[in-house]
Amino acid sequence: MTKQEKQMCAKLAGPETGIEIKHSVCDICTPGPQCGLNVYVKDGKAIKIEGMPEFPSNRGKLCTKGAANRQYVYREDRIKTPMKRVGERGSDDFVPISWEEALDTIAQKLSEIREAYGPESVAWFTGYTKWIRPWLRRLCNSFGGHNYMTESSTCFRSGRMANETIFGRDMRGDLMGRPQLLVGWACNPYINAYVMGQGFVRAKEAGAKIIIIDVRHTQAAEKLADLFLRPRIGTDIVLAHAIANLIIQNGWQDQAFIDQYVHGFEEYRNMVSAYDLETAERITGVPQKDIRTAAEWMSQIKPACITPSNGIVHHINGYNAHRAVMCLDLITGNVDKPGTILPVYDTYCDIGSGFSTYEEEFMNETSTPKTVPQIGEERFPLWNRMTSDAQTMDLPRQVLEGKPYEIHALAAFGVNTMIFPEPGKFREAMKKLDFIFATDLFWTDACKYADIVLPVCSSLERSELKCYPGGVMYYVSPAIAPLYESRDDVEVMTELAKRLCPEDKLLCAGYHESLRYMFRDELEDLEKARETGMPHRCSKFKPYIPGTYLKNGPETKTGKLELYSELIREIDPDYHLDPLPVYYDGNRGTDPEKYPFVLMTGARLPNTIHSRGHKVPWLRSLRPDPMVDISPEDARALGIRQGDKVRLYSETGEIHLLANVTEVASQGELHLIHGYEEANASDLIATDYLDPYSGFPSYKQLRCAIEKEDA
Amino acid sequence: MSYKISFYPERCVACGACAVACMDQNDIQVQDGAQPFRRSYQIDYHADGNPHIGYFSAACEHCDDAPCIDACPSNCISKDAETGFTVYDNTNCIGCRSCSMACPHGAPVMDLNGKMSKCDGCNERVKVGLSPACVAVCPFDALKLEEENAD
Repeated sequence: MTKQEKQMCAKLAGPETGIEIKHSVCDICTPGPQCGLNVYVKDGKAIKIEGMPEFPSNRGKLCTKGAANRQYVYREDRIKTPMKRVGERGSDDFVPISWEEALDTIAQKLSEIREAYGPESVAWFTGYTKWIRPWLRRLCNSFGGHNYMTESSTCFRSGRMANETIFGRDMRGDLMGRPQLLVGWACNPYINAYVMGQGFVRAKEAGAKIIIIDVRHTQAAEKLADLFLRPRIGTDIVLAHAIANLIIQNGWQDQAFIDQYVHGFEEYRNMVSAYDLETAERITGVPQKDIRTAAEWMSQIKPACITPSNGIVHHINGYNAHRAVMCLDLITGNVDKPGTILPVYDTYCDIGSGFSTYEEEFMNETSTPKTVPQIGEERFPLWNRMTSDAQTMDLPRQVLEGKPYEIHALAAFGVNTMIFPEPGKFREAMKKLDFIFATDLFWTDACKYADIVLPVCSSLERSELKCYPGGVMYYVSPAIAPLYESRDDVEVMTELAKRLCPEDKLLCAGYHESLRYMFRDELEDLEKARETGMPHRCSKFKPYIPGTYLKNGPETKTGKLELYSELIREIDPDYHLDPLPVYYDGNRGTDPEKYPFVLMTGARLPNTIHSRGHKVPWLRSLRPDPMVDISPEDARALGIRQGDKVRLYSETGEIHLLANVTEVASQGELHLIHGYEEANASDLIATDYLDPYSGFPSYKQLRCAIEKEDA
Repeated sequence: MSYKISFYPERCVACGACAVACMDQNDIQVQDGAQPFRRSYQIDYHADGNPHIGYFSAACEHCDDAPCIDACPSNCISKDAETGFTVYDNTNCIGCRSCSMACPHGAPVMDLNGKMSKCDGCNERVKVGLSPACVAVCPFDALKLEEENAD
């Protein structure tokens, strides 16, 4: 090989090889940490991906999924052209059509439905990630509707609601503020959010103590934990209450803080007093001495940062679980101080960046008065009080029952049937609708039920502004041209706006003009970020000064931090929502004899997020088959060996997959990542198995049984 | 002077980012049956009566005295004078797998054309001052490119 051939082979960028490095952003995982990318481009094609060294969060690093961006973008099942259904709903009978025909058809159908049944009869949904949300909300508003809904009906929002209930505002752990104690509750940051994982590692290296509380034996448990507590699935509230009880019994609470800032301490103290160490050990399985150590550390080491991750809300009593954990911050006085938890002020797309925009105004200024309840409003009143979204989990029911009114169309930007417990019910609902259109990168099960399917592009193929904590604005241009005939989602919304609500001139003007409206106080910064394509520190950035929030008074009903929620007290008692974060057994109703195991779905593997990694060959190669984690003890008792075929079944459904015998799982518990079409965890979960406070499905606590199948 | 890709197991969580970055760098078509050059894995074990999980990443170790070099009848494998990496030119490879059998880790694999291939330490990248792909990506610095001075 010549030198040039060798350099070509090694993909070295430069004039000799004609390989160019372009900057982009990874959009595979959750919006918070989305990382800067260096995309190596040759003849318009991405040939290699690396982390961007200049990027403030990832600094050249990437996670497993991010490293696979190239194969993700070039996945074989990318939708190539707009498609029109010609066969039955649920079949693959589609024909390619032009963009004009597709957009005109959608506009015509939605207009007809709006005319015939009113704008509320159209449900607007967006899945992951979150970059298009301000535009879709505005489009729904300008169309005249209120049934805007997102995948946050099953993720993130419940935790935020729990924080807002207590604090009046969302709160985040302050890793930068040098906590001396970090409590990672249901938190495996190595895998879920490696940038946060790096923060944990740095804190540990700087001498902080770390408690990991997880039902699984995770990387964090193995590598980070000075103390590892392993409660049984769904018993976190008992553990939190027992810790609180011990703290209060011993007078270790921060009474001065409680007297000044906390509402409902007496009611809370009475509630937790039922959870003595013995009771707690019996229910959670955590040894009494470990609960005692946790209580000692949490009350005595300052500052402490005690936060649960998102997983904890995916239980039938998940919203209260999040509240119960956060209550520990209150009684130990670990609130609004460096290294504890600090308030979040959203800047843009659910991220607080230390400056303000007109996002809220952009989203809602075209809204009209509501004349009928939103989807889910009557079933989940707390959700409705605390968010402005419809609750997606009630969509299948409302479509099928037509109550309180009929839904006739679904406008979906990235919908996947697998997000719904009992996806069969959602498919049934989709069959009933008059019209569905779906945008997606990939051909999913939901596409088969749509009338029109539109191909949209990945983050590498579009312009996008992202904001990050610390005032960072990052506005990328496409690293490669949109593949096939794909367009970006906002472009699709702009084209629909021109046809459905032409009077909304701003929405019709497109992405950048909308940004100029939202960021009108930071226009120079916006243009500068766009021009350079590099991370740009906004000139309006003001770091938050810890203590300000408490000084100004929490934004709750009482103006105090509420252990006892006055907001919940106002809700109709017929809904049986408790102002205190009470515990009850989430497994109730299911026969433990017939279904002796408790299944948790959705605990992350490094090589996938939701269904996104399963069809990326590089990622799939790290875990080629759907597998259920089972403890060595249980496997032995059932005669199951590593890689054996097993049947996993619940009252609702069954799936077939392979056994992974590992210490990750505790005895009596099973773990399974979701999102496999051939072994879909959601098939096991009943459609009405929802948290009454948030409407969230209990993805992470479900009675089931497992048996070995014949080879 | 020679380089090594050092592995620090205490920092590894077997996330596999290294393995995927290697596949991206080397265009390894696993979907067609190609074998990766680097693998990550986790192993359960017991210590002090408690269960533990160990996390690992492994590829060619670029041994000083690499047995694959002597094992190859076609002289495909050699040491790069500049970097010390165990590199190869598989033009004359006859697919006998002697290299793979001689290697204590079985690092050399057969590519889809039946020819030997393996980690070359991202030799060309290192020569221009870049890190190997696996080292560059590793979120927790469990893999590092380190210089070793010849005695």
